[in-house]
Amino acid sequence: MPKFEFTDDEIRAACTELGLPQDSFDDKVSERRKIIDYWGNANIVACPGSGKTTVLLVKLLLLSKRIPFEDGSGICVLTHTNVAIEEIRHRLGNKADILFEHPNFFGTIQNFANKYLAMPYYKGLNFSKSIAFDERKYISAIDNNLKFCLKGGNPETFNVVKHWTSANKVKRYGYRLNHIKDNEIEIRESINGKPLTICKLKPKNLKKDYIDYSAQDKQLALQYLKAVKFKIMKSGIFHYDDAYYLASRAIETHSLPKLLTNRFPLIFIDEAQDTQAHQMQLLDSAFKKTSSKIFFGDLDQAIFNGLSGEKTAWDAERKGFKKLLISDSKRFGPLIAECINPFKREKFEIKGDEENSALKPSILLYNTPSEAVDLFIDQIKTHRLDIPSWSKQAAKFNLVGYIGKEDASKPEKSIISSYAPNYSKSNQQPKFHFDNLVSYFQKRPSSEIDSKGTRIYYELFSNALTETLNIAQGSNHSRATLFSQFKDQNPEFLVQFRQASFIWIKGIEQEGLFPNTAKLEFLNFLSKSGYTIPRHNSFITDNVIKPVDELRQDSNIIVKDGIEIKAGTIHSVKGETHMATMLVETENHGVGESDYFWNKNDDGTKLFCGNTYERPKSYKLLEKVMKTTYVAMSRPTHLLCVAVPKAKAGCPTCPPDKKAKFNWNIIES
Amino acid sequence: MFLRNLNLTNFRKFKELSVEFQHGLNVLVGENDSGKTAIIDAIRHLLNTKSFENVRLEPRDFHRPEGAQQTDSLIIEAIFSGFEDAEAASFIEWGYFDGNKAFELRVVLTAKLINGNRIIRDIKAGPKNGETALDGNAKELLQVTYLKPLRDAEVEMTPGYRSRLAEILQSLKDFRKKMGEDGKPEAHKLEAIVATANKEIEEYLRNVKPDGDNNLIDSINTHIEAFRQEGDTRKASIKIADSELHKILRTLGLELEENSSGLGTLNKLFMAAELLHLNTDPYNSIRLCLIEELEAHLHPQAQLRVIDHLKKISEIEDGKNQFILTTHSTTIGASIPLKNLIICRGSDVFPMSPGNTGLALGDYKFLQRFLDATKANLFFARGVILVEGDAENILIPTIAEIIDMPLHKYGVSIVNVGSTAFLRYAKIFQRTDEKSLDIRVSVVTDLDIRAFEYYVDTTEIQNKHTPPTFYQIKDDFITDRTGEKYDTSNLRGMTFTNQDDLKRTIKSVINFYGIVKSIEDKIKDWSIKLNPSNIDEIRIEKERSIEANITNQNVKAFVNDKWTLEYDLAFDSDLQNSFAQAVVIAKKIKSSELYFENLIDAEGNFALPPDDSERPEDSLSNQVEKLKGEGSPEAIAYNIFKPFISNDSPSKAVTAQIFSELLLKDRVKNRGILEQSKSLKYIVNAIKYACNEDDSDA
Repeated sequence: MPKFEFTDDEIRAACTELGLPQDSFDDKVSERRKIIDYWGNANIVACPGSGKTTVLLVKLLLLSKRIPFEDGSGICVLTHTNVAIEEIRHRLGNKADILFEHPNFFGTIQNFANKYLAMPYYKGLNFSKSIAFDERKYISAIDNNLKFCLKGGNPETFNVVKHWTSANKVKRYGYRLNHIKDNEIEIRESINGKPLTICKLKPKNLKKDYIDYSAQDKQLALQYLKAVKFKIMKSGIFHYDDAYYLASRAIETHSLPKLLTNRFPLIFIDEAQDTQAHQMQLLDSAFKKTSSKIFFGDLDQAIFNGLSGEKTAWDAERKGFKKLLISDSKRFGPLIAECINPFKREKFEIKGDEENSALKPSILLYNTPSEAVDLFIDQIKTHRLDIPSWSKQAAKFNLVGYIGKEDASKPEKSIISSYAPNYSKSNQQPKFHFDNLVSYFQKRPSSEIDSKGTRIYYELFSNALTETLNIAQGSNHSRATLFSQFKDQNPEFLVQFRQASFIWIKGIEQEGLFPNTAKLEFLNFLSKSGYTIPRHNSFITDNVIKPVDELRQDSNIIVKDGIEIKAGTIHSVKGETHMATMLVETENHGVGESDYFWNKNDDGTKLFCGNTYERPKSYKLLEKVMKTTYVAMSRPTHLLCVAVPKAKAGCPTCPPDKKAKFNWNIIES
Repeated sequence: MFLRNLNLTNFRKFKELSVEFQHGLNVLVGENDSGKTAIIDAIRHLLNTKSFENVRLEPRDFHRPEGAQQTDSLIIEAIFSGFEDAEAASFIEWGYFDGNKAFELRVVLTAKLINGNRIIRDIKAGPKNGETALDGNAKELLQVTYLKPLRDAEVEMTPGYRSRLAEILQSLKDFRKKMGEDGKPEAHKLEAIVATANKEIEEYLRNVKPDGDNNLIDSINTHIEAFRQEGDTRKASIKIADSELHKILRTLGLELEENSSGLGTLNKLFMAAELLHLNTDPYNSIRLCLIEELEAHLHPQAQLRVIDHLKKISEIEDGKNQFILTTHSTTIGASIPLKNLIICRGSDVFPMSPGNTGLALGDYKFLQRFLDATKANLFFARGVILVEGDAENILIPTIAEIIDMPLHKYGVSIVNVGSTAFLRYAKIFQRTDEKSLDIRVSVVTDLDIRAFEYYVDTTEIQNKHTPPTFYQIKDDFITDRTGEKYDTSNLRGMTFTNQDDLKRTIKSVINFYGIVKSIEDKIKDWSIKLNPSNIDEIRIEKERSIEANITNQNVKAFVNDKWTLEYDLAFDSDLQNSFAQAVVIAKKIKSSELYFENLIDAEGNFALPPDDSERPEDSLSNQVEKLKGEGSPEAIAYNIFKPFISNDSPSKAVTAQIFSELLLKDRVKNRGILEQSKSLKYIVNAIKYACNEDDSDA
């Protein structure tokens, strides 16, 4: 275990650098200071708004003053999303650039697995030089390889596989290899799923003569699927999950854990609750015990995006790890803390910040969903929240709900768009890949160009070049391999491509060059350079411009009475701080929040009424909803609202004496 | 593309520094330790040079604030502008568009000092917070040509292993290896030439037989055979060079005609060779040339010619060739147009180009001749005194000496602008770029309200002069054309020496532009003539007006009380006697320059002319009394001064010279008088201010 000691002065200096009050951590026995002083294996269990990231930043900033260590080792900071890395980078500014440089590693667990384990291992196998971790390519590779029988494959087995995979789309793309030990490899339904089993599709009107595949057929089919997977891997195409399979092989066959342990004596994992089983397994096997791991997380916020049945692999009670709590929230006051504590599953209670004068949370009862937004705006205006300025990165006012996606088959069910009519859910990052050529030549959001510069366009054009040449030549290059090939064999072409790119950039940015015109110039440029471009490929001929996704952001903002409210899913606001948050009811599997927390006969689930939770007989979905509800409700600093249909909530019929003791305001439309 | 902006944080003496450069020629002028080299070195650290000198950051490059701990991180940031499309194409991955939609490139070096000795550095490019690593090819395009100070030209320009000439030639396209059709490198023309020559030399040497039998090579080889180890079969040969291109290049030397090149000539050759780089280097690379201490090894005339040539090169192709030179030579400084100068002072730099100083673009033209002649004085001055006439120019150093503030000791220079019209020159010391130039500038000027006696004097002055017109607000309110009334009671009784001041004041109080037209009507009513009862008030107002026009930032106006320096001296009861003596003597010199001889005693020092005992009425004291005449103090002062406005006026310069000598004759007594005197107090204050010895804070 590495040992560090920092003086009070150093800690104060770090606070000043981060813009925190100098004396933030002066109290040596405070929860946060203990965490700052502790460098062994630890689980830091925090509550929403506890400023755990700030504590992590202080630790990192302190370390940056001791880095590089004399033995050449570094530290490893792992997160789950690139957004999280950017956020940490942003908050550190350039005060601790050294953390982002060799010998330190700063990135997602996925990057780590790729860089230190999967890629070196795969390169050692000498299959393909171009390597792409790319979900789109992976899906089309699966499709291509399931069209025809593999060379040397048994046609009958191929038929079984073909039938089975066309009936099971999720498993068709989702099945993964799991390395057990030596050459023992099992196939799983998904990365952390059950072992894959194959059975014949049962016809709807099940007749007696239904006969499943024979055990041998099933075994052969599994073998066949494994062979498909290997073939795709050999061609250099991977699903992100495959990195963990390769990593596991790498760890087994090399002395990597020893090297990695020497290289990284100290490992930080932020948002530890988002760690999945395969990732935890990787962390455990890649480093020996002498590396210290410090996990920062909030178990109550372990909600996974779209992966039903996914559980956190982070065990805060784990042996050999010191559990350290941050139990008070700097975000909101006791009024909000009292309201949300019943939803908390972790044993300790959050203490609100006594100095925070947050408002008493409100339950908004509405008749039709559109009234909910009006009620929320009323609340914002009544409490004059529209006046103070807001310096946080997240939006000031937010409408959040569990379900964002529309299910065409059930238009009547309530989802976020019932409240915010134009809401459309999609990924946060502007796109860099499109399924047609013309979309690469559209004008990008100016915020993106301002912050990143002309590089954005060059990357897009390079992607367009890679896609187009791959189609023209039937090749499977990644951008990197294509460009390094050009560098070796035809550097002149690259120079010309740059020249042309700059002209297009100027055209698009300054002269309003149309994407379709730019596309034609691009194609002309390629044919002048001696490439033949297929005329009938839809990638090239399609003239419909696909959005970069900036528009989406606008459509997620409701503007009414001069108040802007951002609509988003609970997953998308995880970790954010809002001034005011309204949780709206959405329905999943036909039931919404009110069904769980009001209509049940069981008092132990009536959590809005202030009852303490008692686990009923059927609780799996319920506890999941509790968690998301808790995440949503722990966002605001000032105003928390929960919008519930009047007909569903029990409040109107609640006896007045009970109502008086209630933690919530009840506001009816 | 050119380097437009360099920003330093914690680099050497600079905590924060931002320098703007322009295309073409930029000359950094400043004293030693003013930070010129730091600026050049920062550029070298960031961009590297084509000559691959060893540039490494060292712990002492990190700024150490006075009395505080050394900082442990530094930043060097450069911004490039003016890209042509083809140039921009090479930097697409890092560039962005500025506010005017022009392509811009920002390159940043950050370095960290660890444990006081290890340094980690990192070079990136991109918009702020969007930086990515700059790749090798792009870095190469940004390499600068660098001419270091005190070059050892002899080593670098003559043949040998360290030959810089070889490096320069090698980097040219014509000396690169070409591939022949067979895919193998083609022999270079030079290689063929040398190979042939070698063969011919060998041929010739074979026939040189010193001992009659064996030829030269064979003789050498006999000895070598005896020396060498068993199994070593190498043989000696004599040739010009190995016929490999890079070895040939190393044997080349650059010379001017005969082999008589001194260090100065070699330096010129060196520069000429380096300048090759600028135009021939890789396509689209930056054409930036750094020259440190141009004056090293070149005598002043040569410096001027070199500068002149550089100026020309920098002007072709719209300033595509950018030069940044440093110098502490005032000769060079003075020969560079003001717009190309960047003055390094204290912990800041001050580009003197239009837009950065208080001078308007037109002023640069109007004052050009004048600026060219005098700017050298301001590069290194700690303070400047601007005067508008010869008398002040002569008298001020004397006064400074008497009050024990010799100007040279304080680094204060006097600039004689010769005319009040040139006083706007002072604006060159005022900054419009929010910087503060720590040169204190005293502007010494005359109040120039003539004595009333002048207008009533009918004796000697043929044309009677009418007293000038001034303005006084006489109403409690004024009415605009619509009949609206504006209260001016607060302004009533105020006097103005010109219409502009009057209008400006009324506007500032009434805050309504439309009133101006109505004032025009009033002005007639408000005009007043100068007369003995209002002259004091008008003088005070004139002084205020001059000060308001000139005093700004570090520039401060110093004005006498009444008319001109001479008149005020004539009015000063403590000094009028000495001054009258000077006037009398100056008049005599005017009629005969031989009179000078009477002013020098046996030791060659200044002395008052001895009285002629035969003609007592001609004695100096008699003549002084005659000059003074009788009457009120005003009348006497006017009498003493009158020669200067007569047709036969004595030289003001000569008068000042004589008066200076008179003051110096009795320094101790005069020091006391000067400090108290009404007539010279303003000059004493001007000196104190420029010497930074007054009580005020600039």
